[in-house]
Amino acid sequence: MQRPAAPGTGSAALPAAAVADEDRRLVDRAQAGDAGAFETLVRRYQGWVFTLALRMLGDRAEAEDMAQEIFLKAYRGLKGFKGASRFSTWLYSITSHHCLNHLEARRRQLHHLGRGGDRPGAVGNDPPAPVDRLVDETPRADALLERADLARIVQAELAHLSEEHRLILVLRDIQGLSYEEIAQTLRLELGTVRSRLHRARMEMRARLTPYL
Amino acid sequence: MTCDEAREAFSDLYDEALSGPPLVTITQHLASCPACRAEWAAFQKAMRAVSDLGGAEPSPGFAARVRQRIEAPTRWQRAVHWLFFPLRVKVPIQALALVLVAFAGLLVYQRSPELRRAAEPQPAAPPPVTREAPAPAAPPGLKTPDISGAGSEPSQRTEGTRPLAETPKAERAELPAAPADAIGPPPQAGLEAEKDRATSALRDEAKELGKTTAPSESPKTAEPSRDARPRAPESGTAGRSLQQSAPAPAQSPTRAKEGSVSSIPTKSADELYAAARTDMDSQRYDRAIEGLRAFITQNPRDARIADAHLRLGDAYVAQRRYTEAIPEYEALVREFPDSPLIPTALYREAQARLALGDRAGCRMLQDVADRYPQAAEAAPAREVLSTRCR
Repeated sequence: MQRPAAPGTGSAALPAAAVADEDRRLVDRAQAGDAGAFETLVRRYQGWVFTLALRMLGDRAEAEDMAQEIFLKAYRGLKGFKGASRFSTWLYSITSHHCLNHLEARRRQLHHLGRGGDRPGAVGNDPPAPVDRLVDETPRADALLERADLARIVQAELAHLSEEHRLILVLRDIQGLSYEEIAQTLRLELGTVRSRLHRARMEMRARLTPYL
Repeated sequence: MTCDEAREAFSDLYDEALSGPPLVTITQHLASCPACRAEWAAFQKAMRAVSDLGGAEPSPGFAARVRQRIEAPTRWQRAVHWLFFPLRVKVPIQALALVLVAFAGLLVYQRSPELRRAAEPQPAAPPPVTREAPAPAAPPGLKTPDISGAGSEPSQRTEGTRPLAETPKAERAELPAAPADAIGPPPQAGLEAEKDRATSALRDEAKELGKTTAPSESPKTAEPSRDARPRAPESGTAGRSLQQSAPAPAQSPTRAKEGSVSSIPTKSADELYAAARTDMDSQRYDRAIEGLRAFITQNPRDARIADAHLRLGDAYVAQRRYTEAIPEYEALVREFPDSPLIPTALYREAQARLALGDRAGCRMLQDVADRYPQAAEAAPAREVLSTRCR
């Protein structure tokens, strides 16, 4: 089964250990004030960070803004990065928690505005995305099963998962992190990762089955 | 293996995390259970659909924009730069502005006695003291006939009370901050009783005043009372006759406030004056002020006008209305240049001015000490000069 590889670990790229070493050198230079080195790190990880933000938020513009915020946050916290873990793991952790915090804040804001938000992690309480309306108003048609439409449906159904389930599903099945990496990133036990992922997958299967 | 157990293992099976007997068991179950097989196929399809979402890239120039934001000065940096750079221009301007602001603040502070008073801690009110202090000795050379009304209303003098000259310097120096009773008139006593005692008391006083010594004679003395003013020794009858024949003073500014006392019913001079003194004794200063004004307005030729001015000033001081007290003392000094109350009026005006932060009070105290060295106020004036006018 093929999953997206983590940045810099594709077949044409450097092995993971070499990537980690290269990251370490870039981090050292960035910590010394070399903005160019940090820009290189941004280029290396921007796809990964942006993808996670996009899959969690479901909106490109918002995801891009958040990705910028995440890199700024990482840059400002770079002096505190001691190299105990890989830079990638550190960055994934920042990204994951930033996404969760952002969604939590947005949910609270919506709740405050009287637009729902009672269900934790339910971005689905937002006004329905175009695909939601499409799904709600249009009978299932073969056209919807085309790839592009399926992607929109999957994205819309992702938004109905709880934030925790959505995050772990994206980290594993879209971003391709191993159980161990997910455990490090989210600071969870392996068993918790395994059981939470299973529940997320089963829920997603149930949601997608009508369209498959 | 049950169907539920098999489905619980779908996630691990999908991740190829099963091996050995568990893998064999679930494989056998799926081969033999069409429902679980269909469920497994749907599970795989759904997971592939999720995986097919794949990665995404931000818009072109994303990394450059991040770098721009990193290198952009923060709000604080921009504020600091705007405030201080270029240093050679901004710093001198700011230093000059700081000096100007400090200078302006100092000016405002100096010219605002209210501010100065607010900045100074309020002293605790001393305990009430005997207010039956007799009139102090009139300094030699000030044997002017008493126009203060003491002849008709001689001060009560009881044992243990002392003239102003014997009052501790510290107490007298605290005039502006002292409680009202500290500078008030003697305690309420019937006017008649006062008059009855006048002759004998004044005789005793005259004898004692003849022996008046330095102000520091006794450590425990009464506060400088209203009646502790310099007074020429005299007999009660002589004083009475003198005050009755005293020339009418010129119209004082206070008397111009006639309209303000129009509500006071017409009373005789004695009634007005006695009522005012009673009000002073009872610390009803508003009524005392009203009564004294009425007295001054209605009896411009009365011999007790000078005394009334002094008491009026004292009533204002008791209420810390120093700016209103000062004109009363000034009126006394201006309109009764020969009064033995002059040193007292000057001393109290000086204290009122000092309470307002007006350094002219120091000059007045010096004037009292220089021009009236024998007056009872001379010593306390010197004391205040040494403590508050250095």
